[in-house]
Amino acid sequence: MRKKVKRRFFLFLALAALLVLFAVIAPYFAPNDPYATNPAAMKAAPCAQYPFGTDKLGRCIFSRVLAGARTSIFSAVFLVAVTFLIGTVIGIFCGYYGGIFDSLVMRLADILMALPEMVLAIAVAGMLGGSMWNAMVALGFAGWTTYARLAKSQVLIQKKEAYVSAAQMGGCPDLHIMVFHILPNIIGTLVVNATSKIGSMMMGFAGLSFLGLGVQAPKAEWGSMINEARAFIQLTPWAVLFPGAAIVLTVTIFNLLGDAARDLLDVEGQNE
Amino acid sequence: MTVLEVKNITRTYRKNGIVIPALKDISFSLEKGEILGIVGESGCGKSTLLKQIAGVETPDAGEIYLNGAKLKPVCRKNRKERYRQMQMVFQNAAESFNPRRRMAASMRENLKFLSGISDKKEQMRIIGFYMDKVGLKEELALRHPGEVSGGQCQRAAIARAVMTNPDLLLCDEITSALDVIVQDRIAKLIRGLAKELDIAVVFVSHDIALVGSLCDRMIVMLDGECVEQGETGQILAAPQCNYTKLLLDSVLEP
Amino acid sequence: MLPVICWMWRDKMSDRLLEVTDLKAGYEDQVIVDGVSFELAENEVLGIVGESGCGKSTLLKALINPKEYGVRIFDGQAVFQGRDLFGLSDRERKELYGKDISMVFQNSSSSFHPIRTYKKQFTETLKSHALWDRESSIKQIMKTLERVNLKDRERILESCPYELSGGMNQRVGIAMAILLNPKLFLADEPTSALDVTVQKQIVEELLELHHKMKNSMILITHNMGVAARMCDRIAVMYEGKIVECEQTQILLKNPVHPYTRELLAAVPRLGRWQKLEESE
Repeated sequence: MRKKVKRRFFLFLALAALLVLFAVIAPYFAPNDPYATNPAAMKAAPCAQYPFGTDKLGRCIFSRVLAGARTSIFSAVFLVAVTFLIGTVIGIFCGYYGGIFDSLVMRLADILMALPEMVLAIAVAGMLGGSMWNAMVALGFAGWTTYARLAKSQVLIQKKEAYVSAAQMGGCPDLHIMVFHILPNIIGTLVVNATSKIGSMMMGFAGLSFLGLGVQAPKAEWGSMINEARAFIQLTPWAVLFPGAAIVLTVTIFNLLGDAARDLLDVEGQNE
Repeated sequence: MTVLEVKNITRTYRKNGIVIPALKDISFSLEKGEILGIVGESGCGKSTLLKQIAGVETPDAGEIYLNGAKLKPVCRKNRKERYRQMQMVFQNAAESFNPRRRMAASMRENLKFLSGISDKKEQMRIIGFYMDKVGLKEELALRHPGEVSGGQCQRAAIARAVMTNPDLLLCDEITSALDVIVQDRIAKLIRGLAKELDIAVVFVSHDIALVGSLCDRMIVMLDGECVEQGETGQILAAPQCNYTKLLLDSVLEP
Repeated sequence: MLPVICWMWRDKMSDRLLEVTDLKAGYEDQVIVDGVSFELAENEVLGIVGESGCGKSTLLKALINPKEYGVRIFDGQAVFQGRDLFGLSDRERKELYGKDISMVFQNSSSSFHPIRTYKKQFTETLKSHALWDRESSIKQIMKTLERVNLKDRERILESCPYELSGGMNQRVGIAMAILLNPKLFLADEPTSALDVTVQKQIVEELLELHHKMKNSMILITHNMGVAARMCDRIAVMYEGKIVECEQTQILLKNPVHPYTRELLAAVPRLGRWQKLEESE
């Protein structure tokens, strides 16, 4: 049973790694310039020259999907990494020290979490204007709260363990305990949680770009590609389908990776 | 020399509006090299008492004096000073070590922060010395707590506790999770170390026979109160309190 | 190594209630119980004493229901009243256990549903053995609770496990086990989780029950004192084998095997309060 779970985890880890690698090298494999317009071949169906067809401006969709891979995947991973770091650090301090700091931060998190995530992101992006970085800020504005909450609850559990008391009685400073004792024992759960958030961050990005609040034209990003092509979905379904499929595939792989990682942690936890 | 003096310790818990008195006016003192047993059944307050002495909790009333100095609530500033003078061994030895690190790492931390020894070679030398004292091979310290047996882990925990030269050692049911043969050896080890290193020991247990065979003096606790206190031999020979008599009667000896 | 075979007492009735021969059992590839043989007569209490890891829990699991606990039987036999315990069908096993063979565990309350009343759970047991009768069953249950010295029986029946203390839960667990008057009563560390004063009471009550019901008992424990008080014979288990099996008084006075001696020497005794020196 354990071997099966481990194999699944490594399978999806490999797939995700491939995806990230793809994101890096993909643009170099684009058959056409993703930004070159071709008035002669506007809204063309998939053919030899344009494997995924062209959009309303005659740009090769295949090349744009490849180019967009970098933007979409990296921005999601980067955003998750940053919010994970900030949220986890805040959460650990809240959990360890408690007190006023903890109360204030948790109330702030409650307020931010009360608002629907996308609505808040749209509001922030609307205020800041459309661009990739602003979209990241918008999504990250409330994104750190889940990591903070999870980290805090994990710390609270570990704080009760005997080894933390023993470390305190060993004269270890608080920061030392947080970093060298508590963190190694909770990082697994936290990272698994983060992995499963990559998918939803990608969707958030795609959503913002779709609404015109994320990446601006002519930059290639899967969500904005769907936005641009949705008026012509009946004429040129491929312009929507292919970027859409790319999003679905990527999000699915990251979600399954997160699931597999969580299963692996569960199984290892049982064996202890 | 009086290492520990506990005066009129009272501790009350408040839960959902209900007041639960956990400790009522407990007083005792302890000399260097002396082993004091605290015995009672579950809920009597013996672990709570240890928590007050260890500084994990603060009593609602009463004072604790360690080496003559009154103890204040533990904070960042006085933590090191406090734990240089006292150490604790826990019931579940494996849980008192970080599961993901080697036991030696925890010992080196103690030596670094409490004894001020940062040189790795010196740290390992001291670890080797005390591992030998507790009857373990030095390389066992390089293992993780899950890789050694319960008895070995408890010995390592005892080594960690005494290697910083504390004046007081608190033992919280340290043998309750161990088999009887291992329990016997650990009890003898504690006794030997206390006498050799001149450490005052507070030994908490629910087993009055074990406390009776190990400790110089004894306290019997019931419902947060100290119902009997004195020299072990005297209490065993002529218990004054009915509860003590009940405890002694409950011992099933082969 | 040849297994140690226990001889029956001539004083007791000569029916062999349970006969275990050369039992080898374990998990996956590991052999934990390594060639254990013993016999249990009617109206006899046998104690199996050993430290953790010696295989006594695995032995018990093998006798109760190896499939459920993931225990593999590599070799050997267990015969109860002429019936092969390892060859029972699931239906036969369900009929046998609870009625002729019953057990009580260290933490009784965990073998009960945590949020259903005891009354419902007792009723369920009777119904599953088709012994439920609306008029007489409640009386039968109350009588059994009386036998285990429980007062306030109505309140206890209407309570759930979490509402009662450890000692009371353990007594209810024993009541459930003796409800159907079993011939063989298996107890796995029945008092280890209890306070010493409660432990003494339960030990005395179990003895009293045994004398009244005239059933046989296998008591598994690491506590020599409990075994000495309750058992007619004691089998000492070490690393999967029974190293010594003897009538209690003889074993206590003249232990033969070095492990038995070590075990007996390690038990803390009240009379021994003189200062022990580190003897290693």
